[in-house]
Amino acid sequence: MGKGRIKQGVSIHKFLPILIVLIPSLINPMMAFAQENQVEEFVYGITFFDGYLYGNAVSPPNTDTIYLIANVKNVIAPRNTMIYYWPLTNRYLADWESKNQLVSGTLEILDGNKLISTIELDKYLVQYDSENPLDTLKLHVGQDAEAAYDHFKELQVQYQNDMQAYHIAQQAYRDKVSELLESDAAKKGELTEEDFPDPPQSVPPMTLHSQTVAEGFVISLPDGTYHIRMRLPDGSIQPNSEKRLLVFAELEEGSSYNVVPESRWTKPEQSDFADNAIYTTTGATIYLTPFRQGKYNEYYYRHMEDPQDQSSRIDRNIWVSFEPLKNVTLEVMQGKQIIERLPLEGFIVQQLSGSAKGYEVVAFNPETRDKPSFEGYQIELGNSLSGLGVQLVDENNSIIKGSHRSIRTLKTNRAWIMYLIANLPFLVGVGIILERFRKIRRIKVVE
Amino acid sequence: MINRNTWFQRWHAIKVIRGRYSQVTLEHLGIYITIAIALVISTLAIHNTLRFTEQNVVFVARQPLFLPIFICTVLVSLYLGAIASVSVSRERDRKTLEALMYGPVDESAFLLGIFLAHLQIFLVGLAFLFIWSNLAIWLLNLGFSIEIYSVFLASIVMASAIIAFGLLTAVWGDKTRTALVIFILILLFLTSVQVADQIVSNIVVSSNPTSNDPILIIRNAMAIVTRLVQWLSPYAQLIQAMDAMANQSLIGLLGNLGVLLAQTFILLFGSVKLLSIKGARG
Repeated sequence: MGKGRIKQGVSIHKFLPILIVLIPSLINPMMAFAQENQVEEFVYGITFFDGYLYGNAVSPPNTDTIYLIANVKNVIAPRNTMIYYWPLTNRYLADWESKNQLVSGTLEILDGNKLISTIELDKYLVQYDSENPLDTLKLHVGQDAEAAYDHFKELQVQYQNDMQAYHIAQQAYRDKVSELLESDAAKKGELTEEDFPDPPQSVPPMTLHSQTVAEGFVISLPDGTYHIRMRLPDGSIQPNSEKRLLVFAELEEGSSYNVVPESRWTKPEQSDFADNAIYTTTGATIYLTPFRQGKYNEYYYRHMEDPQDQSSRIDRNIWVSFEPLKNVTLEVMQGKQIIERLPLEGFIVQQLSGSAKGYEVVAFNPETRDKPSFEGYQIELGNSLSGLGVQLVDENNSIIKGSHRSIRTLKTNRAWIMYLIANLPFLVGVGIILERFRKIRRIKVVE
Repeated sequence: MINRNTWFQRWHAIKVIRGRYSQVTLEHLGIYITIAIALVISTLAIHNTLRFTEQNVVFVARQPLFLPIFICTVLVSLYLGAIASVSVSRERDRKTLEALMYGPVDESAFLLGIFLAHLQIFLVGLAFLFIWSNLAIWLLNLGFSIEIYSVFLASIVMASAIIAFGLLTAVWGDKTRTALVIFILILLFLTSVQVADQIVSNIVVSSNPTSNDPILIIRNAMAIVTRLVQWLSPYAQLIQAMDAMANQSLIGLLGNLGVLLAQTFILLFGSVKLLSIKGARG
């Protein structure tokens, strides 16, 4: 009977294409529509604070957890959008241009099975000045968001008007200059600098950056693991809205340094860890640029930035460098004695002209350049071999946490001595063996 | 036959065996050649650091001597674990173990004696490493760091676990060749898992990982295996102890030392029990 069925039955080859399509779709429902162009899906758009600035991410249905930093305002925006599979990066992406529809309802936050908070949709907006993001970055919420956006639009209109006026003035200035150059006085060579009008003042660029006002759930939670779901106005739960919400804290605060050797500007080294040593060679000049940094769990942080991240590991921590530290002084120490206090200075990197390749770092002069290539501290090591220590202090003379580093000049030409010393055990061994043979020879056998 | 309740007699037997075996090993060139090779490889590692600093002008590290010390202690402990294994299995091959058991020695005294003998030899190796590292600090201007001495202490506990593992493989493997093969294969497996994990991790990091990347399946599997191996491998525990020292995490350091001590105790206890069950003839 069985054999007959096999013979009469449908060949497995006919089922194979169906199985190929069905099996992946059972394993991962997103794979099913990966073959199609776009599918409408419910997603959470996330505006997260990364420790320095706000970033954006999308949590598609194939991710089950949203990661956010604790005790800061973050936004989760419920949206219906078109999701598509992008084979070049093997990720699911949102086509916000095609569809970006807000889903109305409330967000429920659960701690275990206990409902701890219900959040209503609110208007929000992120604004910052690119000249000073740290002090100006703000997540505006509610009416404040609308007011901030109105202010931004006013500035934008003002900027456009100023630019228009500048172009008109510029044109008038050019016309006037042309007129003067074609005048009889010019032909006679009687024109002086005073005859020319002052050029119009250029308009400073608009440095305020702003999103448009959007709606989302503004949340700020202490670290912990929660669950979220979205309740629709009819009382039902929005499909695909149930997710785990992992809120994590910064593990440690510290300071990192970008260490740049003068002769190798393109090869900077990063010193992330407190009490790291910076090794260099005698006579070298190095530049240290300090940054604020935070230590986070690698998996949590990377998944906050990209919920579909595949490279991070939960058993590792990472130091994330943020903005360069300002208003800090570098104390250079020999032992425990402070020998120098260096202010933060600007430097210009100049490529050497001619056939000799290389770079030259010179002090920034505001009269010749708009802004420096970088800001930092110059440390000239000279030929001294005694180790130096450096640490940062703020305006109140308090030591910045995690800013201490030791600097040592290595005697790089002495490696050969270490090879000789490495052979010492062999020589000792040979000595012991020879001594043993000598002792054996001395033994006299008494009949 | 030893009176099993007489700890003094047992301790005396342990001391005699320890003295005999350590003397035999220290009077042969093998251990000195091993220490010298380990130190030459460690020097290569530190020389590489010097060359990098010379070329790049700047080199940032927690402690450049950590890696050379790790390499040296691993090689010497590997050698001692192997010869501890050979010492036990050869006694059984030559039937001298049976003769010893009829005399004033029991299983625990015999194995503990050999264990302590090889640990003592490791301390001799560590003395050479101590001299080498202090001269490196002074000659190369590396800077003194108390953490180096903590690594020395941690390496003693690591070597204990490796020697104890050598004893277990000797009792388990019956014949000298089998014991050595088991010892080398298991350690090779534990080390290769960690090395492979490092390689696979680096491949992923350098090639823009994607969710369907086939290397990720291997990578995730390796991560699970590595997590298990980290609890089993004394070398992985030493690396973690060094990380804990660099991070000034006393709890982490004590935790790793605790795991290493537990490994040593379990392996020694297992060796004694297994020898009791199998007997001196195997």
